[in-house]
Amino acid sequence: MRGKVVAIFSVAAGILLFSVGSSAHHGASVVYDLNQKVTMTGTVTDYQFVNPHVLIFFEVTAEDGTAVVWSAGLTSPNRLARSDGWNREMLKPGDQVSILGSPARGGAASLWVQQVFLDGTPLLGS
Amino acid sequence: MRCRATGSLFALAVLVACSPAPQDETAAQSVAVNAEYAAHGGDLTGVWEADPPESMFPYENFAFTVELPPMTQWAQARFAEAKPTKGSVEFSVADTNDPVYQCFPPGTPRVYIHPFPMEIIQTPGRVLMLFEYDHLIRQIYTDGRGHRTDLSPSWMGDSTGRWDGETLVVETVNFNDKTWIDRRGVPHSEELRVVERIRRTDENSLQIDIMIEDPLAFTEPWAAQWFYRSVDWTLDEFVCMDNVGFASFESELTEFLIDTPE
Repeated sequence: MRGKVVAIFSVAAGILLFSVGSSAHHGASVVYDLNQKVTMTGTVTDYQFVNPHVLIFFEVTAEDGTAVVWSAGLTSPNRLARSDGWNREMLKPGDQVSILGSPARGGAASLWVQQVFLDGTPLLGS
Repeated sequence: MRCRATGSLFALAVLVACSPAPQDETAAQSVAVNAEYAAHGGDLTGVWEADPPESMFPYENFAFTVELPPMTQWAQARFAEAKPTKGSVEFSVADTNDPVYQCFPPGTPRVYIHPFPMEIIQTPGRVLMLFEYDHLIRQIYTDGRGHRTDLSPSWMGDSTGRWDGETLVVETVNFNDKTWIDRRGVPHSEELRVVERIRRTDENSLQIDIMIEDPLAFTEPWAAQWFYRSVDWTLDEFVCMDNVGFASFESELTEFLIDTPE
């Protein structure tokens, strides 16, 4: 039965206070299943290069034609800029992306990012 | 009584608690003291990013040591009440009582654990530590003044420093008891005293040897180390309260339901 409603990023946001690297998001395991990896492919609808963490929203079209907007979370823009050269213009609506990440527990359309491919090119160094 | 910048002061391993009355010095004496102190010491300036050795990787984003410090019964009782987001038991952000998640200052030395760069600026009479995280600043007074007696207990403490060759020896006291020593929830009292020895181990490396003492919380002083590497970054902005503000976007974000038993 339905219980507590939790917004993913109100929980995940606090994780980024201490994010060291994609491999050290132990706190993210509360929200995301870090033992799982999936790749979702779609079209960027929004790209937010903001603190506390960068967010990519992208529309994924299922085989039956239904479209779902997924969210993908990364570390803070400060860290992405320094380690991987990210900036405000890294992505824009309309870009075709494939995102590899850990899915949210409970089946919500959200990923904790391990890699972003833009037209096949990986955007993260690690 | 006034602190004098004599050689005997620096021979002591423990800082003498001088009467902190810089306002009693004449302007000329202040300039002379500052000039003398500025002429000594090392160069710790630059922007620094935490760079722990691989042996510290298993715990470096939440603690200073792999084992728990030697806590008194008082401290163990408070530690048992902690609901940390990281440790042997982990709580969600919604359930934690870690003060950092309400955006209170992390305290000293816990501020080092936050994975954002730090910048050291040296100016006559002070060494400044700027932190990208919440733009916190530690002012380490190196002009010979003693600790203040007119300050209320503070989150980050009152820091004075002296040079031992090219090593900066910092003593910090006057803490409130509202911070955690680390992300695991190790507590401390207002008796906390932190002594740091900060030095460059080479041109691009900084090492901080930390000694933590609190007779109310720990059965004996205990030591930790922190390491930094030099980076050519600027200190930008990371505001803790952005995490709270982010919750206001939750209506636009994906939500999920956690099935809980009734």
